[in-house]
Amino acid sequence: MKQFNKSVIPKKFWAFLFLVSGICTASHSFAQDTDLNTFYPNQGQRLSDLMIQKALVPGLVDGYLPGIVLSRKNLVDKQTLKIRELKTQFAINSPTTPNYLAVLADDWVATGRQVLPSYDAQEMAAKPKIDPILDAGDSLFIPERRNSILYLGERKPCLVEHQPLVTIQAHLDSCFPKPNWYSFGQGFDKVWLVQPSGKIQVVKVGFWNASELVSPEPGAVIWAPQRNSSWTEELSSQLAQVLATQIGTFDFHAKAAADSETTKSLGSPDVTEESMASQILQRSEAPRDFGVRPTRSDWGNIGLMQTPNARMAEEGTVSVTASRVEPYSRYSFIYQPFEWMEAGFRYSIITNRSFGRADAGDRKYQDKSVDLKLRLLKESAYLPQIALGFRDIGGTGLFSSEYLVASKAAGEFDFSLGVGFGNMASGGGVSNPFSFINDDFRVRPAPDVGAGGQANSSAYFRGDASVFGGVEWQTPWRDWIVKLEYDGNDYSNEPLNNPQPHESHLNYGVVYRVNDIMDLQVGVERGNTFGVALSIQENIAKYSAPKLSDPPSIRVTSGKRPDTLDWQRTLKLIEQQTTWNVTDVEKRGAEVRLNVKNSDVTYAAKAANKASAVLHESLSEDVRWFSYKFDQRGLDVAEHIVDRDAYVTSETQLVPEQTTREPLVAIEPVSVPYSPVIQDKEPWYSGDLGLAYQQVFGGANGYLFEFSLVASGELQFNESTWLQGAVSHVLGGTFDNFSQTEESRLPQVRTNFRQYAVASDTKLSNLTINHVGELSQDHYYSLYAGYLERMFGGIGAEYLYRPFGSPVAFGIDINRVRQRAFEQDFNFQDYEVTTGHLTTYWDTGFEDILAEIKLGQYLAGDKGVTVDLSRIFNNGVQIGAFATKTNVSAEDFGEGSFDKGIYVKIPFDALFTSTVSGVADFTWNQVTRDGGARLGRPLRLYSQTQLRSPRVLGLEAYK
Amino acid sequence: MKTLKIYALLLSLSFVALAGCSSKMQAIKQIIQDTAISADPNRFENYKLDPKYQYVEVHGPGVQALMALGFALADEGKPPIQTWYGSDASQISFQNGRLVGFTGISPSQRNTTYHWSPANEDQRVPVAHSRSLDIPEFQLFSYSESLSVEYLKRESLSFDSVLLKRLRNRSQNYIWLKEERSGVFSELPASVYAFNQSGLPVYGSQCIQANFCFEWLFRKNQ
Repeated sequence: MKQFNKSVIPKKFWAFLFLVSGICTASHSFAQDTDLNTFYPNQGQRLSDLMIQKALVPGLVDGYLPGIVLSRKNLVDKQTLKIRELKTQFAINSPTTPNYLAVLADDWVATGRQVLPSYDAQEMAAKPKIDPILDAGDSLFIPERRNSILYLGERKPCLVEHQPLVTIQAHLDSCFPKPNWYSFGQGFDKVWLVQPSGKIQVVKVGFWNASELVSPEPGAVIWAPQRNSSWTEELSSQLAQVLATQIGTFDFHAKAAADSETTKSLGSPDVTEESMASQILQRSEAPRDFGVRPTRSDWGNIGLMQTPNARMAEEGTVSVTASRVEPYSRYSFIYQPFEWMEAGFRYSIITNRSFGRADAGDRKYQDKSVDLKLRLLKESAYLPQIALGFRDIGGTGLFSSEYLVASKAAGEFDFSLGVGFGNMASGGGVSNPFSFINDDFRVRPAPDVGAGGQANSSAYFRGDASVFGGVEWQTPWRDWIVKLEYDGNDYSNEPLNNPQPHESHLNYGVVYRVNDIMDLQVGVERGNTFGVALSIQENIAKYSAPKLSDPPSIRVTSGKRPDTLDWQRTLKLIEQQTTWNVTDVEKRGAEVRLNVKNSDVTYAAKAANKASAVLHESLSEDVRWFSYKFDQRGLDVAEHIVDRDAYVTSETQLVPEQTTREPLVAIEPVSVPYSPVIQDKEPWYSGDLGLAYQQVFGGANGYLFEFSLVASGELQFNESTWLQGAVSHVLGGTFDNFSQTEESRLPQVRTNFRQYAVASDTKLSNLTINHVGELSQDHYYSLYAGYLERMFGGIGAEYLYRPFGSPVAFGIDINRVRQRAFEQDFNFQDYEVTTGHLTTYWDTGFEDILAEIKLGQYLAGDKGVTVDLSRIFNNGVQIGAFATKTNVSAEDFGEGSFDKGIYVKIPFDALFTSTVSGVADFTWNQVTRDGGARLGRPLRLYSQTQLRSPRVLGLEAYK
Repeated sequence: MKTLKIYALLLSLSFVALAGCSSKMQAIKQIIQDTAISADPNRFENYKLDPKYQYVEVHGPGVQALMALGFALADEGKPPIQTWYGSDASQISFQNGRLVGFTGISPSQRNTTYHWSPANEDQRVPVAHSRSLDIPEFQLFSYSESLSVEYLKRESLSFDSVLLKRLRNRSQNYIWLKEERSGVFSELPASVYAFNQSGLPVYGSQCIQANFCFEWLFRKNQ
């Protein structure tokens, strides 16, 4: 194939010194090639080494490098079994297995192909994790470049010539045409694309779901089952996996050609060089799909302009939308905790009505509301996506509406049609479709909102209905989307006796996607009103920050280990790499154990990997196991054990998935004797200085904020008893304008937050003495006393039962507390209360939901229950909601009727360019009232024992 | 009230004295520094480089990197392919100063094979008359294009890019070359290359799309 020039000229440089020199010194002797396109490695040779020796690199090689086939001796048996299983399936499903496919399968033999993430030897050389270490029986084959794509249909194969800009859909239409356009059940929804590299991609190709532009490369094979095929997804996937091992070595194209029609050339006369140039060059970036992508309405949820549709954002998305359509200004915060649920809250400002309180000055009327939308049915080829939604369910109900809406995509258009009730159906003129069930549905009772905040479910889906809907068109310019909608509301019955002039039910507008996170929408609504909305959205489940400021990672190498060891230096390096605090090192047989004190890292597996890299580079070969025992305030909560050999293998070479073993496991710490190796001296104090930010909005004073300097510190008396405190001093802000005072029928335990905010500039935020202990395995307790939080001080205790790795835990806390002085000094007021809860923690395993249910007495002496549900994503981001219902009536509770809120917690580690502990917590309480108020305890055993969670090793930075 | 403030101040000062700066404050400071540094297009200019190694500075859309030479791999009758690595293991390859491929950015360019003109008396530096390449994102595979080359006078250059500005005031007498493409990419800005008097590449630029251009500067050959 190629004359090999032995003058490989390696150069070393600082970052890859070891790696490159390893390649340079590799043996240059190799087995004799039997085929010009086939190469054989020496035992233990790196693939990159073999390829560089043979000059098999881009720019020099003549064969088709992306189709490179690495055959591994140790994969042959496993693949033989897979082929046999597939053939058995073919036999079982013989009526549906195409004859030609069964014939082809007869000739398949196991190749042992290992799919490679890269075909570029020089990339592999820089990344050992993608560079396999080969055995003597392995081989490397460089196929010739092809210029055709083979489609495997359910009746026949079809060979097409590869042409730029011709899509898979066009190939399918040409290869397997429908008998007529209306043939039901014909067509394709998804295909299994096997690229020459062996990479498998499932591509959506239906008119309704085409969402990704994936290009088959020349030489690709595509399995294309019909829409209503009897082939299961599992069987299709199994076939694709076998095809991936055959492609490159098995000559599909030649063997299938006998059954195929003549090779099709779909190069349309329209596809000229000029048209290709204009299509390629006009793109602002790499080609992307032109299907409709969800955009937001004026109300912040996914929809058209005034009306919602059934679409959902990507799960993990958080959005903020500001819109203005006279006389409303709306600020909406919408979350997508699950792919089937959208929820959020909104502040609506009615700018032609005043706030209505003497202390609000000329401030305009504000309304708070909560929205919820649930997907009931996912779109399929013939059925639309259907969603059920509620608007303004948690506020005063001014805009209270319910709706059922369907969305159906067709190419670049997305149609929606729905029926709405309540405010969105004012003047709708459609009689209630549920009235055949009960006549009560004909009339919508006036909202009995009382103090607001109640679900007001007696009005749901009642009264006149209205049809709404419209279409979104993704224009050929990817940043522009056009919207046209029919709005069922005639604005004759707007709240606060505020009817709006209305000329048309038709609204139209355009969305400009400013960038990946920002959309600007402008349009004309009601036939006479200009509307504008700006949305910013981010998928926080994909948050991660490159660790530019961290010390460079230690590269894991193989080979002989050092003879001597400087433990002090090694521990210092581990602490730098992980941010751990290692107190001592012990040894037992072939295991070295590090005791880690008060670890608060977000990504435990990453820390264990980094520590293992340091230990592997430092310790002699006889150490086979590294273990890390976590001591949280004297409690031995977990131990993470690393199998050194498996770890090194996973870090230094590409191993076939079928042959890997897990290098890291978490276990309950074991009480067996270890020999001490070294002990590190621990400081008895620690401290921190930082900035704090507080804000208040949605009240009569509008938006208020304050910056403070916070100094916090801790003195440790022993490993399980310590004093901690924090002092804050106001640096600046607008809290001086905080004049809104609240009244309450309950003891004022939270509604006097204004007094706490403004009484003093310097405050003792908390000062407590704490002690924790372990009653027996799985049983923990804590005792604490002092100024527990900014409004209360006293004493308390907690007990927690948490078995290791269990999704369920139980806790009890009881506290006797007294209200602190507004100045937050050392003084107290007269109010005293006993508060505490029985808490059940359940990591449900369903959609990553953590449920916390609390039952007990709250700060105002009221008794009730709190339910807190949250989704925890793999990167540690948590989106949740809570609600508390106590024996306080809605009237006594005041505005909002009961306590509820939404929160987002983002680990700092996902935000910063350095590894840092802690969480950014954004909590929105609809209204701060006294009912259902919980004590802010300084110490929570559930948090202290977080390393016992079954999902702790699964948390990782988003890649 | 006053007493509290004194206590609070003392307590706070004692913690400051004990603790130094907060880890989170430090993290915030670092992220600001990282952002500011990564936005400075000239940040590599004053780096102290290790004379044992060779470096190329690469600027592209959202990318600035100082990369070190890892391999120079030759095959019989063909100029060597030089592969350069960044500290994050990203890579870029050149042949006679022309772009062969890179990782980590889309759209990609890969499997580039240059066809070099035989040397003649007029030819002062290596010249390629055509090349074939793959751009999978555009479904272009084995795409061939011819290249027309023209020598430029220094006066005709605008020196308006970050790296060209650095060459503006250099006293060295570089050989400047403009390379235009045929076919689909003919409307893209022409590539520009600079070579020193020994024929070694100094500077190059190439556009993959209208708003997706790379330029590079071989630091040792300047």
